[in-house]
Amino acid sequence: MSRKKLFWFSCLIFFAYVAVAVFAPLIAPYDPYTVSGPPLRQPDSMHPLGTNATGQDILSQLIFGTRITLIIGLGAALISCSISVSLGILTGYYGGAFDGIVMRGIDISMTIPLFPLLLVLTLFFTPGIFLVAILMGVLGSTHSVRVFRSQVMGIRNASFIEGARAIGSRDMRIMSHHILPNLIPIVTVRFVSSVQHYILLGVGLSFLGLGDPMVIDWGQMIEQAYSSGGFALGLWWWLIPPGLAVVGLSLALAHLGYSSEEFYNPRLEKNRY
Amino acid sequence: MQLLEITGLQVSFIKDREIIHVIDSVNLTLEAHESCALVGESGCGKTVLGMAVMRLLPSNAQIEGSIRYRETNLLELNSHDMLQILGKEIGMIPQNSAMVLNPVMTIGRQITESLVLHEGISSKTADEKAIYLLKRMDIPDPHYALSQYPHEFSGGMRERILIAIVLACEPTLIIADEPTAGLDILVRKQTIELLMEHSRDKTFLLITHDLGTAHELCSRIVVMYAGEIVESGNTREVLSMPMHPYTQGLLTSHPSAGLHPIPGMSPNPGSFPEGCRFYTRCSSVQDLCTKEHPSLKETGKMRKVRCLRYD
Amino acid sequence: MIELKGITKEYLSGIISKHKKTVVSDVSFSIKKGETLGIVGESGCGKTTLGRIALRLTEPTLGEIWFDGVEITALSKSSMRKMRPRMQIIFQDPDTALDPRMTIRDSIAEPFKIWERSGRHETNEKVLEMLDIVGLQPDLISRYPFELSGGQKQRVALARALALDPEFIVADEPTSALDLSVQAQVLSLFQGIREKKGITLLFISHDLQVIRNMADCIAVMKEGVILEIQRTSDLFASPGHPYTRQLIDAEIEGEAWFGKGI
Repeated sequence: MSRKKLFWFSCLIFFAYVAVAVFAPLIAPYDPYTVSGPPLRQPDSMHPLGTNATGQDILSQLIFGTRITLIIGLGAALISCSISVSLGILTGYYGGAFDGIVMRGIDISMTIPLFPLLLVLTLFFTPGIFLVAILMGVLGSTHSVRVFRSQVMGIRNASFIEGARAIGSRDMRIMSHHILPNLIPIVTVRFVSSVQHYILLGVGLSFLGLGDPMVIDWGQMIEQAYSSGGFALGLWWWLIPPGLAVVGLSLALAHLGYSSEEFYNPRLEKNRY
Repeated sequence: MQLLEITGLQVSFIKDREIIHVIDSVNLTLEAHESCALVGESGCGKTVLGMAVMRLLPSNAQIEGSIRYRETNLLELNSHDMLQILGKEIGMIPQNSAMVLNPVMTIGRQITESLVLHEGISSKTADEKAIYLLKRMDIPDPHYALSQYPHEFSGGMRERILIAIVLACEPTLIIADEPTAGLDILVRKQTIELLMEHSRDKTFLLITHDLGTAHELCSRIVVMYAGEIVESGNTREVLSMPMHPYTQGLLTSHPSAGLHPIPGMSPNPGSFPEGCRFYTRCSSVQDLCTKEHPSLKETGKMRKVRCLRYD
Repeated sequence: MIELKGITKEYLSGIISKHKKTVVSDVSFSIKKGETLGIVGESGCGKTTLGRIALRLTEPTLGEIWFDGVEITALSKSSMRKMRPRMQIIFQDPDTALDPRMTIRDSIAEPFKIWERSGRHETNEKVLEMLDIVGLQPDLISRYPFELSGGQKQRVALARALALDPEFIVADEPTSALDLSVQAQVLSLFQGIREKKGITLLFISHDLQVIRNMADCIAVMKEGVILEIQRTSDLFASPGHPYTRQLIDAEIEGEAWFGKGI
């Protein structure tokens, strides 16, 4: 499949997920929290994906779970990118002592692995999904700062930046009008892969039971299925759908990032002569 | 003996489903030990020509015609056979030495790489040969230089290292693409002297837009414009008595002549005008020039011009 | 118009043992209003740094710069910024001189936007005016830099520099990256504009022939030091320094073939 087709296909899949999340109340046949049928029922016409151990409809849970997954993933990625882009631009542009201090701080925080840190934090206080997203975003932002910073340092030395200073631009203007637009290609690609990361992280956290206990999302579904003896009892309709949902979204995002890179860099395709 | 014979060469590129012609029916012959300069502006196709001979064009290039090197049509060779020739028989000094040398490989390795590959000698013998070459290129302390990296050298030195790499396997035909571009006056002089010394017993194709370098190094000159040859002949003759208006324009644009520019811009491949490709900028344009495309005609001993004025 | 006194620029590198590198050493010169000073020298001699120092784009380690009677080295950052419209620069590499993500219109309009000198409609008019001055077609206005040739990009850079009507321009090897014929076009454009607007020009190049055509006075620079400054004709007639002699000889040799014909 050509890159362009791949890009649009992944886009379609991603937006399908978003649509499901947005229109969840309209699509889901039942409320995911209410008992709507006998427990551990195999898929039938009433419950296309069957029911779980408490009798809740799995399809509805899957649909509503999309919301949570996307909120966490997109929210965390947005926060993370905003922080790392700002820091990257500031440190890359100004350099000097400021850069030195910030980078040392980043170096230190990068040595702390994200997932265990999140585990510890969520153990101490059980956060709602928004707080999880914020935590992930803030802690995860450190990893991207370096990447953006080196891009900025490369751009900073280009003649047009000096030209902008020569015309009399203020620093803020240079950073927002010249440096930031030139970062957009790399930021977008990074953002997409961040979303993928944080989604997986979020699912992982809730699988371990450390997410928001008030909501049911895919990670929890898998966990519940597992702890209810899903494998032994062969409860495939409960185990597999959430897993597939995660994989599908993850793959779509991965391909989106991969093929959008070409989108932004016309020179990758252009042959010089 | 004819070493290189290019006949009816046509190179086009496919871009966004459009076919763009870059070189149109070029014929060029090089005798053994001859030195020829291919002169023109960026975009005229001269670099593409050099790359076509080396079969180094990108995959979306369509080539028609034939490029014969010693009886073998290079365009018909498979990549394995072509690799035998590249570097050993035909060597290319590419443009822009700064970008061409591998920044993470010592220059010693870069020189000995082709030696070991083509001549199958041991790396120790290759090292000795490399030191000898560097000495000939006037690189100071060649023994230490082997373990140094490209960024430790100045632009002029890197150009010389590049020449050393190309000369390593002693190719019969050397194609040099803009070897003096961007070099300072003194460094340029040294580079030209170096090239002159080492190309004496070889066949040399110089691609450049610098008329001075062409004059010093080559006995023949071929002027290209918009993908075709517009004038060719003995260098001294052509530069002192240019016939084609473009060649004349090039000479008057020279700083020594007072920087009188040729008005307009050279057309991009894919948007060549009807009739003569130069007419929009020609000071002696006639009505016929807008309709009829002139062909390359011989006007004297080894002299050819593509201009309706001489028909 | 512009005067540099005792300009020195040193770079310190290394964290533990500070290694000092002197790029420009005790340079002084002045340029009269409307005249052109050419600085010629090899790469690495410090001429590029000197050009940037003249505009205070790079801070000198020592020395003073006087512009039209004002000591700009003593100005604060914001006061200096206000002086900027009067002094501009053209860079060597056309490929990086323009922001690749901005259209030609945006690049040329930017100086107007920063100094808020005109409304939207007026700005458009001015951009077209600038394009006309540098001899470019108005339909290039919505193109991006990668769609233009080297010569065209340099013209756009010139248009942007001229937008604020500067009195002083530093041209740092503006045509070194260009072909012979394009160079001739861009340089004759420079000459035309210079005459029309009475601009003082600091022209930096490694090509002696080009400088000969463009400059009233020439300064020869080597390893951070100015070896001599003379009026152009005097320099060629009787060069003072042996290095200058070397440069002129090499140039003459390289152009020896030119004597014939035309």
